[in-house]
Amino acid sequence: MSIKGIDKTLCVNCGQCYDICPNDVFAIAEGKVFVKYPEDCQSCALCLLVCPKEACKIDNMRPTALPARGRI
Amino acid sequence: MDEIKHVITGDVLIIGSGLAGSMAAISCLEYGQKVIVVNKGKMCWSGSTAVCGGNDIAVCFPEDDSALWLKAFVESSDYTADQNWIEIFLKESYTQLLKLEKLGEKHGLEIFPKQNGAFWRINRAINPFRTVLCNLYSALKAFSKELKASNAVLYERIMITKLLEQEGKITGAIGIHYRTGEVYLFQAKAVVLATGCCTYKADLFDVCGEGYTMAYEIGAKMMSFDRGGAIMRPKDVMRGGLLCSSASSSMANALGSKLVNREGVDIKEHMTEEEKKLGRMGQDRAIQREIEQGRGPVYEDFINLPDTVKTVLSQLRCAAVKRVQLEYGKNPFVETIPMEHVEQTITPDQSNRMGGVWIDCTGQTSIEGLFAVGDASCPKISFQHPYNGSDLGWALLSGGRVGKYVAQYCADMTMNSQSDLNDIQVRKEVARYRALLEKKDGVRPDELKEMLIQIMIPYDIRHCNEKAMVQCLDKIHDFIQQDLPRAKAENLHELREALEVYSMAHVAVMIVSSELYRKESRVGVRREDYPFMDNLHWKKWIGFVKHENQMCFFTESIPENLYEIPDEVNTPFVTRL
Repeated sequence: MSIKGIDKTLCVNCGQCYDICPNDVFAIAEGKVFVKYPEDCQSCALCLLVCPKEACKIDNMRPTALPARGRI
Repeated sequence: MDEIKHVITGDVLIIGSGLAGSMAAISCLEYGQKVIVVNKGKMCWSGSTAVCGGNDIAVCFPEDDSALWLKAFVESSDYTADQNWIEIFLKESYTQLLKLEKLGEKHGLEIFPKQNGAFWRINRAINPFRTVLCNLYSALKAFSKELKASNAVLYERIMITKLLEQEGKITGAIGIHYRTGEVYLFQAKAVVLATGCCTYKADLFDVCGEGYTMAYEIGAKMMSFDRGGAIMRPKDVMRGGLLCSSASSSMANALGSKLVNREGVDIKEHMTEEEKKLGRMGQDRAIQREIEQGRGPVYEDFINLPDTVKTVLSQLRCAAVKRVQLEYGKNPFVETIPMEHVEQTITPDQSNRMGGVWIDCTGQTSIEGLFAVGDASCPKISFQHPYNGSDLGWALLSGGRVGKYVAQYCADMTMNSQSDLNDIQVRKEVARYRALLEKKDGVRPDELKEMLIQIMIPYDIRHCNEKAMVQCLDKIHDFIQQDLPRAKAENLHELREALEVYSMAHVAVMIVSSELYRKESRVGVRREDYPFMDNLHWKKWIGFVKHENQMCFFTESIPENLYEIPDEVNTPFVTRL
């Protein structure tokens, strides 16, 4: 599960997701918030928690592929 | 990038503001110290506390049986827990809990939810003791409010990358603001490391062991990286809901949640007594059996929980409830949530959370003026992962206790003036940042991170032998020598990642080298070549220190002042991970 994007029809560009994200996944340019580094999302969902408009969208895929299990 | 844009001076520099760092900051402020707090993310809202799976804390209440706690910590750690610190835990953990409770009250936040007017104690199936329910969300909010209202000077989004020391004494640290590119020099009489642990998870990126690497590089004594901090739990059932971590799973279960099969039957009815005691691992086995026997899928059932518990859970798990609602389109307190079934999947969960920077009973490390708390530090009260609540208990205790000793240390110290040596160290560090940013060809840090994860995760500490360890260590060394120097950062965001992967790679060496040093099986590390626990020869902690650029290992006897460790050889080893 990781961040997929921001629903621009809901987003009010308050920047709270940018403010709280531990991994700096979001960025702001010309007053608009956007997802700049989706691959760095660690699925903590703090952005979902602070977003006043439920504009942050997630999907249920892990951010990165899992390494194969096995012994060396 | 400027050489140094900001020079900030204070009595104490605290690096990190999770539970341990915030407690340490508040504790130092109580003693009138001029405190600087620097956090890599948003103040109080990054690191492992903010995304912690379980939200109950190991605290010894006055009415508790101390002997039970002692036995639990000592035996669960295969005797490696520090008995001096356990003694402190038994005497002081409740005081720290009250301190935190009071902080919440001051800011109108209930940090410890009550049951019938008393602290809410939890009987997890896997714990022999009772933990106390804690609303970490409220705790972090309270820390944030308290620190902002205090005289502490707070800096967010700064990654500290180097500790400064002079003649064996700490003098400060250097860091970079990874949003502005400005370089910060912090000068302090004392530094408290609260930087958390180091993980190699595919889904937890910001806990990268910088504290370990920085402390090691200035010659601090490091301890117990051998003790099975790495947890790998292979499972075919991926959980997507509220119970997505083992800690939250057993906690919710203790509060009354259920796992039900397709027919609505609580799967506990089909679990063996042994499985019930295994917590999450036992549940995973039972879930798999339900599916194999055609009674799947299995659902998480929070519907019948009392309303108070629902409220507590929705806050405790921070964002989890919201996440479940968005992911499944369901309210987990109104409908059951199906658990996904993914074949041949593992939980990548390699982390070092047991070892750390060696500290004495005041939190002081082997470097004068450098203190460590929480997961950055070692010894710890418990070293057994499935006993939930002990990591948070350690963070609360060590963080809350350190202020007095930092104040005592600072009282006798004068501020070191900015020296030529510091200038050289700062220039070198800035040159390091610049080199990463200016490199034209190279490998992006997230690719490097992924390469390292691919080395670490398949390395299975539960079934390892010397050959596998040596191979893994060779791969890490190859990575450090051949791949890491190719790191390039196209921007400041990538610079942070490049600095993180540098740290993770060096901590990987600490973990595997320490495990290789121990010639027996103990605490989660099952050696195929040394299958037994050997108390006669290995009733010891393993530590190391940097000496002439080499990792030099040593052992130390484990104190037995409260609990005598039996001198048994060939003790059957049972992994609890």
